[in-house]
Amino acid sequence: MASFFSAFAARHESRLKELRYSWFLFRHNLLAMAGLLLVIFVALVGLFAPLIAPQDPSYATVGGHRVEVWQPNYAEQFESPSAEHWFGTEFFGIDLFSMVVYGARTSFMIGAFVVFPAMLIGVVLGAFAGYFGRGIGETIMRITDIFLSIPALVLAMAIAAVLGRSIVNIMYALIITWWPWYTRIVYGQVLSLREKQFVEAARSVGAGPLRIIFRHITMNSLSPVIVQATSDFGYVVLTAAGLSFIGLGAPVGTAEWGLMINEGAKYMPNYWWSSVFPGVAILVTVLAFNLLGDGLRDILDPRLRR
Amino acid sequence: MLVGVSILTFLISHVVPSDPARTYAGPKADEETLNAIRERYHFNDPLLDQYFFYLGGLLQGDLGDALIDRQPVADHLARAFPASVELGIAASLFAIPAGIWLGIHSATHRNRPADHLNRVVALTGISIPSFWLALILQLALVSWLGLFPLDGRLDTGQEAPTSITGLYVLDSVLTGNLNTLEQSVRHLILPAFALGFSQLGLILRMTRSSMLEVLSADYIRTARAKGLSERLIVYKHALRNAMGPTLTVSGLLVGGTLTGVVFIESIFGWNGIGEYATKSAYALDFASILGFTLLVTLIYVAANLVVDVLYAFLDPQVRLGG
Repeated sequence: MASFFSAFAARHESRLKELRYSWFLFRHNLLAMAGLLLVIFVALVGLFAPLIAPQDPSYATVGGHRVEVWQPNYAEQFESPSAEHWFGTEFFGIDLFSMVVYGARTSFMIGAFVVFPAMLIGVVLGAFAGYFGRGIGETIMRITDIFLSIPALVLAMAIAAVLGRSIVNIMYALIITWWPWYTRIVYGQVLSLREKQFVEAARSVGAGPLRIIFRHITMNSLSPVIVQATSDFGYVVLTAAGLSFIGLGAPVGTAEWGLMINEGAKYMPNYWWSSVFPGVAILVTVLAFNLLGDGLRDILDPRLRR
Repeated sequence: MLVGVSILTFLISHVVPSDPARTYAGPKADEETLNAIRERYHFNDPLLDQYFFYLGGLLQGDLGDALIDRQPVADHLARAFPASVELGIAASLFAIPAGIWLGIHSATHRNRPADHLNRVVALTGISIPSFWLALILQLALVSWLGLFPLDGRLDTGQEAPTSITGLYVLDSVLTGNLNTLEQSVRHLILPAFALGFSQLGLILRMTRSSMLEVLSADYIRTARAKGLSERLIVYKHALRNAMGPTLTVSGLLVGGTLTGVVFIESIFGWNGIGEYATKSAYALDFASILGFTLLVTLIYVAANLVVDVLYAFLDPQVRLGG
C-alpha cells in the first residue's frame, strides 16, 4: 500500500506540489478559511440534524407520544426565545431552532441536486460546442443564449409555476435555469485551449475527439467552473428560498428557510423571531459560499497570485 | 433571440401534462364548457399551429387572459408597470452612485478599516435574501421606531396624483402637489433601499476590483510622477478606465432589479408587476407568470443591448475590433 502511495506521489509530483501550494495560499487567506469552516459547519448541521435538533419538526410530542402536526399546539404557540426554545416557537408550537437545523438539510439537498447536474450538463454541452465549433456548436450556444436572456429567478418561477408546488419541481426548475452559465464558461475556455500545442500533440498520437475533449481540454478548464459552482451553491440556496418565499417551492409545513420566513411574516411585528432566525441561516449559508468562492478564485486564478 | 424566448415560454406553458382548459374553467365545469374553452384558446389544434397562434397574439401585444379575473394579462401588466419603474429607478439612483463611490473609496484605502467595512457591506449585500432584509427593515424602522410608513405607495385614503407618467413622485412634481410628493417619497425610501442593497454590493465589488487593477497600472504611476493631484488621478485617469467592468455588470443589475421587485413589492404592498407576479404565482396562474416573464425578458434584453452600445462608446477597442 505504501509503495502504491509513493508511486502515485512520484507520478503526480508536480500536481501534488501545486495542490500543496494552493492549500498553503488558502490557509493564509483568512476570509476563505472562514468561508470553508462555515460551509463545513452548515453541512454538518444538516447532516446530523436529528442529533442536534431537540425535536423532529414534522412531529409534535403530546403526552410522550409522537404525533403528526395537524393543528396548532396552542399551549406552546409563539413562545419567545428562551433557554428551552433557543429561537422560540412558531404557529404550530414547533421549536424553531429544530426547524432551522432541519432547514440546513433541505437547503444543502437542493443546492447539491441543482449545482451538480447543472454543472454536468453545462460542462458537457460547453465542451462539445467549443470543440466542434460550427453547426452543433453554434446551435448549442444559440440555445444557451436564449436561456441566459431570461433572468434566472424569473425563468425558474415560470417553470416552477407550471410544474406545481414541490421541492423536487424547484430543483428541476433551477437545473433548467442554471446549466447555461457553465456552458458559456466552458465554451470560452475550450475555444482558447482548442488550438494549443498539447491538444495538437494529443491528436497527433491518435487520441480520439472524445478523449481530447474530456481528458485534455475539459480537465484543464475546470478551475473557473469550480469557482462558479461554489458561489452558485449559495445563490441556488438563496433562489430556492426565494421561490419558497413566494409560495412556489416547499409545501406548507416543510422545514425550509424561505417558507419559514414567509410563514413568520404573517405574524411579523409581534412574533418577529419566526422570520428573523431562518433569514440569519440563509444569510450565513450564502455568505459562507461566497467567501469560499472568492477564496478559491484568488487561488485558482494565477493572475491574482501577486 | 426574442423568437427563441417566445418558443421557450410557449413550450413551458403548453407542453405540460395538465389540462389548461380545466384550469381555466374550474373543477365543476361540464364537458361542453370545457370544449368551448378549448375551442376559444385553440387547445385542440396541433402544437405548431398553437405556437403561431400564440406568436400572432404576442405581436399584437396579446399575452392571453389572467386566470384570476379573465382580464387580459397585458392590461394587468400595463397598469402595474409604472409603479415598478418608479421603484426600480429609485433603487438604482441610490445603489449605483453609492456603490461606485464606496468602491472607489475602498480601492484607494486598500486594507484599511474602511476597506474592510466596505467589503463586509458588499458581501452582505450579495448574500442577504432581499425579502428578509425588507422584513427586518419593516420590523426595526417601522414597527419599533415608527420612522417610515409600513407599506403602500401613499398614505391610506390618499388619492393618487393626476396620472401623467404613473410614477407618483414625478407626477406630484409635475402637478405641483406637495402633499402627495412628500408622501410618495416617504413611502419609497424603504422599498428602494431593500431593493437596491444587493445591487450596491455588486457594484461596490466590481468597482473596487477594477479600480485596484487600474490603480496599479503604469500610466497611473506616470500621472503621480508628474505631480497630478490624487483627486484628478483617481476620478479622471483611473475611474474612466475602471468603469468598463462595472458597466458590464449593470446589465446584470437590471436583471437583479427586475427579479428583486418580485420579492420587495409583495412585502411593501407596492402595486407593481412584481406583486402581480407573486399573486399569480400563488394562484399558479401561468398565463400571467409567462406574460410577466416575457415582459421582464424584453426589458432585460434591451438593457443588455444598451450596455453593449455604451461599452463600445466607452472603449474604442471594441469599436475597432468589431
